Amino acid sequence: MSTTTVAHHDEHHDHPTGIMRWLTTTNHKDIGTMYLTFSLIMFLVGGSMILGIRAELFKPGLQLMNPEFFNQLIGVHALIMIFAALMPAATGFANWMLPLQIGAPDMALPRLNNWGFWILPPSAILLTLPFTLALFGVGDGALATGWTFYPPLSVQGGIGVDFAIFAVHLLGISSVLGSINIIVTIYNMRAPGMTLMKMPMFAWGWLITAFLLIATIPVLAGAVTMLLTDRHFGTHFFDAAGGGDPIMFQHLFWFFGHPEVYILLLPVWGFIPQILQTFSRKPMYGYKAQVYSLWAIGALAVVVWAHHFFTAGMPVPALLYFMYSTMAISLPLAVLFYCWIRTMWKGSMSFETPMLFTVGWIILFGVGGLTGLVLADVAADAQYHNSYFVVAHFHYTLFAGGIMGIMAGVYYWLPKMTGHMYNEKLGKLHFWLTAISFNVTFIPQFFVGLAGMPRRIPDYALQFAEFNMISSIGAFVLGLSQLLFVYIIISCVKGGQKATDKVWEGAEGLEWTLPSPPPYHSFTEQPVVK
Amino acid sequence: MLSICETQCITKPNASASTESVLKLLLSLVVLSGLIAIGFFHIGAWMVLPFAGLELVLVVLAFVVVLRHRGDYEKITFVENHVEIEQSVLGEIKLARFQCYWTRVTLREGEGGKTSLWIGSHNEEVEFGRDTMDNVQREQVASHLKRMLLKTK
Repeated sequence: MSTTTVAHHDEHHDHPTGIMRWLTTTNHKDIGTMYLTFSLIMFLVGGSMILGIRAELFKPGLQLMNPEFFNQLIGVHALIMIFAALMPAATGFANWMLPLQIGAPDMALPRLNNWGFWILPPSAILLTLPFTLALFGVGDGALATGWTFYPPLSVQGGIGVDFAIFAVHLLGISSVLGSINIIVTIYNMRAPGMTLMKMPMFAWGWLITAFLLIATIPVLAGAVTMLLTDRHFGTHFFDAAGGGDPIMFQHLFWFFGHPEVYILLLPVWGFIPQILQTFSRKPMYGYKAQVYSLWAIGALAVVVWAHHFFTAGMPVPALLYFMYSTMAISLPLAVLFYCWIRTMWKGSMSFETPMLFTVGWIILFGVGGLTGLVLADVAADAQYHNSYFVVAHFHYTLFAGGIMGIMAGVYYWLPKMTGHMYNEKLGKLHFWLTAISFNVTFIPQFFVGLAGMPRRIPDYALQFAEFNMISSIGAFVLGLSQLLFVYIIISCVKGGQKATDKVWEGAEGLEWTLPSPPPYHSFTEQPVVK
Repeated sequence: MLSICETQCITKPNASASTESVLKLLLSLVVLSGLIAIGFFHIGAWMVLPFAGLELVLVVLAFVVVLRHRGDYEKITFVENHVEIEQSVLGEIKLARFQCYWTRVTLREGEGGKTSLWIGSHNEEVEFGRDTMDNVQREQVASHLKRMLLKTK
């Protein structure tokens, strides 16, 4: 992809300053920054919740909290990490980078973009407020059902469930608004010459993500609304005693919940190949194969949901269908892994922090994928279901595959966003601390899970004590090492060595033709892609 | 999108989507979301249907809003000793014509630091690039116009 030279001018401020800038901004970079900042804050909030859980699990018996509070922490941790940390981080990157990568002056619907962001903080407050209300004797705390809201527990739960239902509605609205904006932007705002098959992979990842969100969010919205009416308006959608079906909720929830995994991962699969080609100093391998694989994964994502509840009981043909269709996802995923590895093959590789995170990501996410294959097997799943094996598996998928991918993206684009280089030594230290402590945390969970330790229980048998102690130590190191991440970001925003326009020697794409940081209004002349 | 050549400045919004591609996209979304919602309606989860419908209406509206303006443009052309300003909004074309000798180009600063570019003469003025350009581009166009006008005097 080659581009015409783009003329740049000094920064001109035709926007309000102070708090009003952030409240009223329609600038894609401002909104992207707000999403990323919000995501980082909620990552720390959700992370500190799980440290409370790991402290409780440090040794057998009940030490710090009652089981009810333990359950609340688990449910809110998951909801925060998924909806308030990972998704906003991916949306933040989309806001920052999509217009720059496709040569657009801004997102197609900037006001919608602003509303999409400002819905998020109230929903985060709604999720966490029940904890505070419980301190003053109002209600019995946050939802204690886990993030899955399964009835009948959720129908019988306290006001925390209502708060979470409204929070999920708001988060859903925010996601839908963001998705609509991204689809319209990608379709209509591309620079002349940028055909769909010339788009950066990140744009493809997000386009498919937006499709998935639009397809599945109404299902979640319908499900939690039905839950709400079951709780307060006398309906019996999920009440077996009233002729309803609690298993139907599981179908509804996971029809959204499984694609949600890909919603979190597809944007990362979009920019990972870009990082690989930059630090391998050679073109991306198999661009078209990757695009088609992303579509195949997106399509399969909406037809495999029931593997999350094989043990709830379903006819054998259904079990077989969901087992084989789940396993089929490994085929396009294998194509992606092959393309990622081939991009690195015989390249002039260097291992700056983004590349370290990316290579670490490939290995650890690979573990998440392979353990997923084990769980896709109906016979094996009967043993592993609801055990710590599942917890370890989805953390390899969502922490290694999601959050470590996001961290790779942060280190990759931070110099472009701030105009300063981050501290490379500290960045590498952050990677090694994260990668090692992550494995120390979750490898023992595979073992205790295989040995039969159930998840979401604050106490456990003595035989699991050592592995849980190791896991808790790993979790605390992992948690503390993220403070280093915060320090690196803040010090990079404040100052540091000036970043060049291209930042990385092997970087390709329109965003690298702009100064670092890019001017408030990105392209003063239309770039043309040849 | 702004393009400036010696005797002409044109600004128009990015419009990379063809009507056909947008229709295909909308049709695929309607079919996908519709099938999912009807499927769940069939097993008793009818509340998915209104949410899916509402969302599809929003998607269609977003494209309608954007596509309605895809033909908009603003154009400044130097024709002999005149400046012609042509503005097309939602298919309605407005034309203004000023004699170069008398034409004034003014850049005014408004609320929040946003500038506006006015071209006119004899108490008649036309604003150019209000929604399609940023401050930098308005400045760029203003200085180009002033340079061109000086040449004619």
